[in-house]
Amino acid sequence: MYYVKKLLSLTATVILITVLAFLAFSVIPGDAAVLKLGTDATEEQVEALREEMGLNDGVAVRYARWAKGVLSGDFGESSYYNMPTAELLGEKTVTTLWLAALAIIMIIIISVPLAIISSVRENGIVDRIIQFAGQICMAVPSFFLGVLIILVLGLTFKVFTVGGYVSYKDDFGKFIGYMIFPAMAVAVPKIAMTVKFLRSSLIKEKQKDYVRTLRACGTPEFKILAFDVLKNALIPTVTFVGLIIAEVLAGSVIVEQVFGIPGLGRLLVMSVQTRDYSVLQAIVLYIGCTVVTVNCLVDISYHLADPTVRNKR
Amino acid sequence: MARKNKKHIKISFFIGAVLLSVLVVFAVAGFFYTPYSVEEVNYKLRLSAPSLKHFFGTDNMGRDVFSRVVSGLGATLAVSLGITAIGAGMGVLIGAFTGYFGGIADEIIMRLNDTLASFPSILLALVCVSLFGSGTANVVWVLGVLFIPSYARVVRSEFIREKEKDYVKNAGIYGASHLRIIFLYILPNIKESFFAAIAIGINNAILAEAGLSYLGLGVQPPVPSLGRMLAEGQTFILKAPWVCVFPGAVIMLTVLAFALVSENLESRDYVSVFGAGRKNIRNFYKNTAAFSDVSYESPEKDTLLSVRNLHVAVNDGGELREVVSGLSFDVRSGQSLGIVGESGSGKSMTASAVMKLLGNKAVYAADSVLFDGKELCSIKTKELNELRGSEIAMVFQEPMTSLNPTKKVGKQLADAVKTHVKHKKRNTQVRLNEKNAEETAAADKTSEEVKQIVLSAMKDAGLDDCDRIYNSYPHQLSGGQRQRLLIAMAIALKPKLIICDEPTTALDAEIADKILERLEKLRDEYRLSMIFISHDLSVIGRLCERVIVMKDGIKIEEGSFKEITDSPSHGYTKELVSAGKWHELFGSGKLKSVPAVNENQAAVRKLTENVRASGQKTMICKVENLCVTYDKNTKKELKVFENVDFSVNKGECVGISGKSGSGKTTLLKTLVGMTEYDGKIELSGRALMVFQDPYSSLNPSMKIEKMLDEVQLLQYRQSRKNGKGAEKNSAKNSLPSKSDRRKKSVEMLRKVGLDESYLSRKPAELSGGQRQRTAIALAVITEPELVLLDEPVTALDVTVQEKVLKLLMQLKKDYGLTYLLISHDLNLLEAVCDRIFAL
Repeated sequence: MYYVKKLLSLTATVILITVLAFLAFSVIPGDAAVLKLGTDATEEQVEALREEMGLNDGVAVRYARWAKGVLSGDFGESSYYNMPTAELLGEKTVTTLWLAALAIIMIIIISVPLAIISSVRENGIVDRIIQFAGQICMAVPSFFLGVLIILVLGLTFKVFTVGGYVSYKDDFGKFIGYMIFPAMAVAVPKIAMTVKFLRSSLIKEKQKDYVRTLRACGTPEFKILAFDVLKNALIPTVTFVGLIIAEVLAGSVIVEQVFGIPGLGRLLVMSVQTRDYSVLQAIVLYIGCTVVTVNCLVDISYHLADPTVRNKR
Repeated sequence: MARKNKKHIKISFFIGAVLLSVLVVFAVAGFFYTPYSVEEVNYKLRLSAPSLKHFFGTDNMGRDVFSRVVSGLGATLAVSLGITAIGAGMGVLIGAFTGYFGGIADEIIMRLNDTLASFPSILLALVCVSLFGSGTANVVWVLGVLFIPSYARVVRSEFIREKEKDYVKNAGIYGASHLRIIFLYILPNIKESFFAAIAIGINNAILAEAGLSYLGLGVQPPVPSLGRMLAEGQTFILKAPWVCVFPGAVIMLTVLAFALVSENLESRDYVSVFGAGRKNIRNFYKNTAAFSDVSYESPEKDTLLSVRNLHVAVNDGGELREVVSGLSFDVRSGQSLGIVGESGSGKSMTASAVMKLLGNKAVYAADSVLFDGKELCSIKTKELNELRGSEIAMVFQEPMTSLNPTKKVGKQLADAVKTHVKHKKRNTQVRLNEKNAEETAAADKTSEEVKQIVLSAMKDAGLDDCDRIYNSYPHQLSGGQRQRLLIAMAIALKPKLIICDEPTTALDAEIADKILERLEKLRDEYRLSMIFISHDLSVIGRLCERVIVMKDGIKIEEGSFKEITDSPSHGYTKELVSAGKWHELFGSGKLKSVPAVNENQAAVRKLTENVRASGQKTMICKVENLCVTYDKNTKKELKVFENVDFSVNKGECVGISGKSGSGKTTLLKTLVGMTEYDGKIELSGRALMVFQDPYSSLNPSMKIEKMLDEVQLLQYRQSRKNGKGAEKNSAKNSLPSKSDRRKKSVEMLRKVGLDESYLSRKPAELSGGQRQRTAIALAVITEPELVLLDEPVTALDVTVQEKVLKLLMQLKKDYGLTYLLISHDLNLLEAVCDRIFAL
């Protein structure tokens, strides 16, 4: 029942996103025909194009037509590149997804052990070092971190070739080898945030009464941590990481610009500058749906992990 | 009891504050003066390295990077302040109203909010900029609006939590308007989390603005921008790294400074004892020897546990405060020892110290804690873990939170048993080597056997339906069931000593009684030794032969239960012994007969007839056929009570008794108009309320003077609004001057046993008894026609209960008040009420 409800609400949100995306890019910018022909065009020319583009129909009819197109993979035509938007997006989307995925893997692999060490050694020297480093990492904007990585690792120590991007289609190994560095720039500030959140969640959990009960029963400290505290502290962290995933996608967009990766981010910035609305519309739709779906999955996993929530519904 | 309000300024806060002020000074100065003009182009000086002339070097057009960074910082700060002002201003309004009123508008706005918030704000900003065009003003507006949800969310959740508190409800009863409650009562109480949200919000605004500018879509030239500088410098990064490193570093430092400052704005969940400083703790260990008991005899042969000179200290505002000082006692095997004392007397700390369960909440030192021949002070963790649970077990006060919420209870109990089965197995192996393989196998119990141990322990603890409970999660069980589970956990391995820390305090009287009965039985069956901790001497009397009385961390009396109750030598013990004996205090002659009206219609009618018979009295409140149903016409429909009839006459004290869940509090809430109802309520005049928990019924951010003043002010407004006040008593028609109101407040405070000096205090600086006195003063100062008392003494220490109850009776006499008193304690009601009825 819960999953049906979730699915319905997901569908509703996705529809809401399409409506908003349609309204934002088809209605607000003004007359698409004028935009296409320029202000020099005569009124007859504009009117003819309007008729041809179907702009004289009602908003609802236009939305239906547009939505039908989207469902069959037709996102319209890029006004700047003069090619179908779907074609333009394909490869770039995969590139950006890989960047975000690498960053998320880094976040999970690095932050969980760090948070555990930090909480176990609460207020000790190791904990203080981790906390201090975390404060600094959280303050670095990801694009500045990207610039620093290029400067130090790329140009000074020559760990990787700056601008040496290889498409995943050509050589996947080299692609990943290059993507690790931009992923680092995206991940580091988020790692700091996740460590901070999970650490305080672990410490809070350790103060709870049931931990005292376990101690009173003679359960060794590492067992309490491994079998009780960690699981309970991870439940709220899942939600937190869900929120971060959206930001990782956003961070990827900016970092692509720093490292010169031909992904969604560069296309987005380009389209903003050239007012290429159909491309923008497709990107917004794509990111919106990704984020909403991820959040829905997070909710479901939260639901699975916490019996108190599961049984209340 | 006044709590120290001293706040510890941490070094990180200091660093952050200094950094922030330096940056702000530079930024502000940059608006008026920069060493070079920001746009001054000098191609001769292209990309020159940092020097004394150009602190941060020059860029590709020979412009001074330092001047550009300083003015860029100013612009960044101004822009992000603007963004935050829009976001926080709108966010606080939306959050406050949706959180306070709830309803469909709340649902819709929050759903929209959530959808918006789940998008990365910088992407949305990009899209908006493309639609509305770039430019500084647009960036500020777009980002400002996009940040609204993050503030609204924080404020809303705080409002939802805060509006349920008694002080907010109380304000409603006094007649404060919704707007007044939102802005004057709730808002000041959420400022901490709001400021923390603002500090985080400023940082996000700085980062978002810098990100947009880096992409060339944020603040446009000629306004300088740190993000854009960084982007421009990136092309010649190897040749002249300073052009982009300095702007980047300044962004980073600004964000860091805000983060360090805001970190210290957030409130801490608990205070670690190690926050009191290593030196203080070292001194504590050194000094405890000096305070030792004068002398103590060495323990007798059959002593199971002997504690000598125990000291426990906690962190109190950065200082160590001893909560147990020099405590010594013995428990013989088979004997039960009771420890009695009020909250804060150190009795629970003693129990935790013996089990070494203080963690980092407190430190302890003792000459000796000897259990069954083992010195617990110096025992190794591994050996201690073998003792805990199998030799010494503990039952805690909080059954609701003492089990892991995400694990089935059966598994939790089985895990606890398994831990010790493993210990035992190892020990047997060491002892017997390969000599007795059979016994080794016996120790290696299968999980099925463990389950049998757990199930039989559950049965012994008095649980029925063990198989179902075994596979349940804690939240599916009642408080009584959970406490029985904890008892089962404690007795499963047949320990020698069991420590019970207020095991029944959190439970209903009836369930508590059954649990005590079961503990008595178990004690006799297993021949357990027991330490039983309670604030209630009568509970201790049921289980313990010997009693220790504690006050302020010191043992003030010790003896057999009979000695203590028959001839208490210490004044405090005397108070404790007489506590709860309400008949002796108030004389039970007042109440002629106790009509035990238990859901019995006939008896209720009899009561109403009685009232009619004594019809000359003025009736203040008349309730007929009252019925309250929660969630009416939904699946969750729940009838709280129905067909309730009663009346209250002027000058009476009417008592209502009933079990928890019988709707006592709901009845009072209905009378003050907080719940919807069917039936008839006639109320002549105002009814005010005194809540059970004085910790939540007073507004934590208001001084007592302001509270008393508010009540008078609101009463005046209400009486003017009603219009009737003008005819009835003209004296109340004009608003008394501020000094008059203050005079009345002082007079009232004196009446309730406080004085003028309390006017400037806030609730946090008062003890429980003082808070309840204040709450009573608030209810009585405007002399309402009816005062509703909801368990007014239950949350207080036993010795304080008596004083507060006496005060209530005195006030009733002095002001001619009428009380409607709710209590679960029939003895209390019988002692003070004229009439009682049961729900």
